Amino acid sequence: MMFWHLALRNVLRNKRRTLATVLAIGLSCAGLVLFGGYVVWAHLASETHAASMTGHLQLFQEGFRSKGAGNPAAYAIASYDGIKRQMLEDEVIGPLLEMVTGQLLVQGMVSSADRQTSTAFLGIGAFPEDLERLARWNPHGLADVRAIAANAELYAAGPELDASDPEGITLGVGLARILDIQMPPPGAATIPPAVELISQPPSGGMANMVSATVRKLSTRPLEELDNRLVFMPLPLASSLLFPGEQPRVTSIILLLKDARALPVIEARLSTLRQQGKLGLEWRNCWDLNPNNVRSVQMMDMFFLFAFCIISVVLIFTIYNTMMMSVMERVREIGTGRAIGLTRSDVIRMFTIEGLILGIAGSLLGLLLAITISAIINRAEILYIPPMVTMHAKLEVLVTSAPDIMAASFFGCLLVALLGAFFPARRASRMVIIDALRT
Amino acid sequence: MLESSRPLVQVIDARKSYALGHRSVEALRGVSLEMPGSGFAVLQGPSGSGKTTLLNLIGCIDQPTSGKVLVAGCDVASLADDLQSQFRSKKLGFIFQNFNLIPVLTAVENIEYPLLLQRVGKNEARERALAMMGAVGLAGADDQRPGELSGGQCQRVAIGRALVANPELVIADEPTANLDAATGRAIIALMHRMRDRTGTTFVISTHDPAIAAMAELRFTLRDGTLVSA
Repeated sequence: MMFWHLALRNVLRNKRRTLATVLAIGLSCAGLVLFGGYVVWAHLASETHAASMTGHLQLFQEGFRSKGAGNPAAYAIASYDGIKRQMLEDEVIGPLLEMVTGQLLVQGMVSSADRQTSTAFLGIGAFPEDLERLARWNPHGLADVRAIAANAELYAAGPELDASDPEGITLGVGLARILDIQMPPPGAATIPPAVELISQPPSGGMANMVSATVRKLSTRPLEELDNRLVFMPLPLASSLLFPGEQPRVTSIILLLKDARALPVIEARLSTLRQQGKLGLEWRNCWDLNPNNVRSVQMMDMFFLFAFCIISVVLIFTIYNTMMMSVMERVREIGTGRAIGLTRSDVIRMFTIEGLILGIAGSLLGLLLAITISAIINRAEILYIPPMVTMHAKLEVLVTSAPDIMAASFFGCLLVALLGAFFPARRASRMVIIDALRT
Repeated sequence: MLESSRPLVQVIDARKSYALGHRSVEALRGVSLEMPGSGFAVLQGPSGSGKTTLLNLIGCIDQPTSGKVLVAGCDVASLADDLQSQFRSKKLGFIFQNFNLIPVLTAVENIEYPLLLQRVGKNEARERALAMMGAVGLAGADDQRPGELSGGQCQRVAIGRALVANPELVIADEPTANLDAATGRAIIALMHRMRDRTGTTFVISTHDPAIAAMAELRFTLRDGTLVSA
């Protein structure tokens, strides 16, 4: 206790230097917490984006992931309703599910009779309400991209699909350009452009054709997708491949209430498969969206890099402060040693001073980070993140990431201790009579 | 208290050399002396005669190049560093020419500092420090920091700090050098009173003959050798 008391008095001895050091620690800690808060946002946004694109898990017919790209319809699942029921009623999986839906991948030709154009397309057949529910999936309460004014144009034409419009489809902007299709201005009483979709059924024979109307154009993040992708109602897609049959799907999508349940679900799926109760394979959202994983891993590396740089700078700052303190108190150290301070007492005395600076600076840093994050989160700072086409609001999730706050706080404390230790050790090794002579 | 048959301090053919650049300077050249307990001894001699070096050896904050220094029968130089610290804390007190008080502590906190180093309880340490404040004539100045005290008052605090842990020996290196003559005499008189009261042995260095005249034992050093005792 005596050492804490003495250290506190010594810390307050040179107030200006202490203030400068505490500020340096505080700003470093605040920078780390803010960056950490942004990395947390990147993790949550990445998870949300991945789940909204593909669900948390997708079940496929055996072999679909390795060979299905050439002929997806050949891997269609006929028993969609049965498997959906099995998932919802499973005692382990059922309670963890938010939604089960299916999608059908279809390839073929799309043509516009009016414009005399045609090209290959890659279609996704989905249930309109489920597709919209996926798109609106936001379990972490991140800023709603639909509420951002800069995205108004993207969402002006409504959702990708509409249950009340069973023939309405959405084309990529690039695909519409290739087909020379132009959408009428919003609100105009013009008939929407029509296209014909043609595809070869997996059973062979004559190609099937269905007519559809283009209800919306959507920009896709990759040019290849933008030039080929078509969203269409699942019954329409299924009727193109399996006319007159019950709708089939190529993937069954599981959306979980909480992504942290993924390992539990995957373990249960393995058990069902081993028991012969499930004849499907599956992939989770991270396997299906590897770019999301790489993006957040890159952010983690940036954070680690920033932490290392800041730590090194901070160690030198604290080392400098503590070294000046030691040099100013050489005679005091000699006196203390003469009247009974041991070397370890001297080390303890100076490291406690470093710890006090670290605690004060880190607390200041947390306060600064909370304040600055509140300002940033209120400001409409917009940018377009990788792999999406809409603007996102810059969010720094400081208060919802206590682990980052704790890591930054204790990291700065550790750095302060390290910075103080070497001057303390030097002080402890002083020759008493030399120290007393100064 | 000390065993009456054994001197408190025994210096046996102590030599001390310092490296000064490329050459070696011999500060002490084979000094031998003995001091009994409960005495008031003075080391006198001109500047550079080796007074401070000898005091440092007796105070166990320096070690002889050769020879031995026994304090209370213990060859402190042979102890590990932490044990030397413990020995100094329990057996010795120090009074410095420049007072060497800790500026961030108040007068009473400076006095209780050695007790806290010995892990004496906070309440007991404060009680003993306050009693010592009264004994050295500083009652009422408890909360003043060294910067707010005069030189004489600072040296009284230093005396209190040296004596509060009931050491057997107090080492004082030129304790009156930074004080005016009257204050210096008052400080020496206080040391005598404290010696009479506590039985603690005082060894001081001085080159002031008037101060030396007040001591019971006088050792005169010149060029690193003891010329009279």
